[in-house]
Amino acid sequence: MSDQSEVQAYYGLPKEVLFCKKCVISNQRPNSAVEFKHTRESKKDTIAFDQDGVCDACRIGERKKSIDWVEREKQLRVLCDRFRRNDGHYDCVVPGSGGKDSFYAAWKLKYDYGMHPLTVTWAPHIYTEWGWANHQAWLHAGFDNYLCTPNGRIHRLLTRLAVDNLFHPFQPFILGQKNLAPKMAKLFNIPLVFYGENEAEYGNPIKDFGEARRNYRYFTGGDPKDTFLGGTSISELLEKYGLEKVDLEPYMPEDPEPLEKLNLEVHYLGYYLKWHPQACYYFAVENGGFRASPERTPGTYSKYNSIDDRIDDFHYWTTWIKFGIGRATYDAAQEIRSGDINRDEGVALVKRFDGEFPERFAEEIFKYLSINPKEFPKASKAFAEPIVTRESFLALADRFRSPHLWQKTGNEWKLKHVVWTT
Amino acid sequence: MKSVIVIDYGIGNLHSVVKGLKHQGAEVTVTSDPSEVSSAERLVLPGVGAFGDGMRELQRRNLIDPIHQFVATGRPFLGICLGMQLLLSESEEFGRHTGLGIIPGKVVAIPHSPGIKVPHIGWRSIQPPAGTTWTQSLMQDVEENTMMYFVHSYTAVPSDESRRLADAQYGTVRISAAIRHQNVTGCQFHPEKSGVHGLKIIHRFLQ
Repeated sequence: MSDQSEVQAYYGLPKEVLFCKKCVISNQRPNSAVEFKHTRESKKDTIAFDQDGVCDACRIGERKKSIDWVEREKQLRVLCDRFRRNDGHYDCVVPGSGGKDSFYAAWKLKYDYGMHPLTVTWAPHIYTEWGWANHQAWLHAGFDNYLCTPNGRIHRLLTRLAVDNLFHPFQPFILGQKNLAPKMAKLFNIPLVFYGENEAEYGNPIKDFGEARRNYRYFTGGDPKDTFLGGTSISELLEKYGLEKVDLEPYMPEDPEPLEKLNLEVHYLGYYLKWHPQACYYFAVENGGFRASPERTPGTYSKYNSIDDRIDDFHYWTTWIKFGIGRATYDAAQEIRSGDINRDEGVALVKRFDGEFPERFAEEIFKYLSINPKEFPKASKAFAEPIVTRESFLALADRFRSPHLWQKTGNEWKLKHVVWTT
Repeated sequence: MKSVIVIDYGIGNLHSVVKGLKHQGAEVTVTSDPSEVSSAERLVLPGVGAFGDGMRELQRRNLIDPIHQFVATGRPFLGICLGMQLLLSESEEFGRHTGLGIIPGKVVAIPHSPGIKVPHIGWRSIQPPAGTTWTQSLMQDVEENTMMYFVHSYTAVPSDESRRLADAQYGTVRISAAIRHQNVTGCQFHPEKSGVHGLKIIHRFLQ
């Protein structure tokens, strides 16, 4: 093996690349972080491996097997009994897209636990036809829903900035999504929010997993001076890009004070009910007419998760560039932990599909990311190249390839470390 | 209802096997209890992973004798993937390991040759060995050359040719797709992951 000690690693990633012995994830996977503090200079915390070379997410998968789910289910009943209302008001908020997980969560709470959920949705950048159909199918299975769709121009601009600064086209979605549920809870005076799975199932620190309640850190803010959207400071957004303060309203983290006054509790349903993503998919098919994507998602083999946003394909392609982890790796790691496939199958799927360029919506996405002078008279002047082309996008990608992960031979970029040779 | 015991020895994925059996109307119990294993009406030994680990885990749970006791009763037994390989006398996977020895022979690595990728993963058609048929076997409802789903790096080589129930041709390698001895059948492929045709084998196993 070549000496890696002299080679630079971007984003604070570990210089030595390791692959989990049980799944296919590498130690380069960043934990989910507080997005409104995210800048190009941010150093990422990454998934922990133990001395046996096994990742935290796999250890949690094992731990799930010994959890007393009957006892956890009882705790859920107690929690629901504490919050249930029969006075004509909603008693909990269930944020989600109407995909398999939020379908399962809302359905269980309403029909098995007698709750009265209000579902809330933060819109994708650009809906896929099947994503929209599934969102509608969710509501027709018996739910009220508020769909929050951000100003398309502002969202495009922030997405472009997130791409240029962080190579993270999905960030504006995450910002809005994390904020929406507590904001709606405040608006409707509903003191309980249910998320689905705990982020620790995918590799956040194990200590997070023992917690039913979500950390406030993820969605409440402090000083606006320390707040960044698309890796850009608020003052820059206002001055350089010509935005007004109100344009940023949906993205700004919630003020913690009113939430504390409301005594808001945020719980993971995945703490109380054993969460199996593929089973959620079948559940949503049987109970709500959920439909998988009609075509394989580029970069992976699956059809049933993260299928509602046309920018999703690019989200996972950028993680492949930055961390060497593409969508097939994320999907296979999850399915190995869930016992749907074994490691040999996972490795073969990663080898075949990881990093496949998402051609199907590419031209539409480049247009989406282009800040043309007609629609953006002021902001367009702040970009050296306001229009995104395939060439400019691929050139940008090269600037985000960390030297410890990538090697260029001739015109071809290759990952130095891959799971099928370990 | 037909009752089936699926052996849980801490190795691999029981989810699909249990689902496949239930789909065909079986009442399934997943257990590592030795007395439940020896007294089962029907027994399934699934498994994914290395041969040595598999035997060690069976031993640790005191399941080897109960499996032999069950087999001696003449009641139906189905081994799947590693659960099929464990039926043989020995394996050379990561060192030499003794198997259950119910079917004489050994388990060897799929030989590397051009056009052969190891592990062998994917769909491949299966046939009865020349001069044999599938009547009076778990395969009797399956048509010759049906595709089944495989994922493995090692392959069983029974010392007695007549134990071979089905073969699959993988490049130049002849894979033992299924083996049989009296009431004991083993499938290298996954009937529970091979769609309607795989389910026909499970259906017959429950008759």
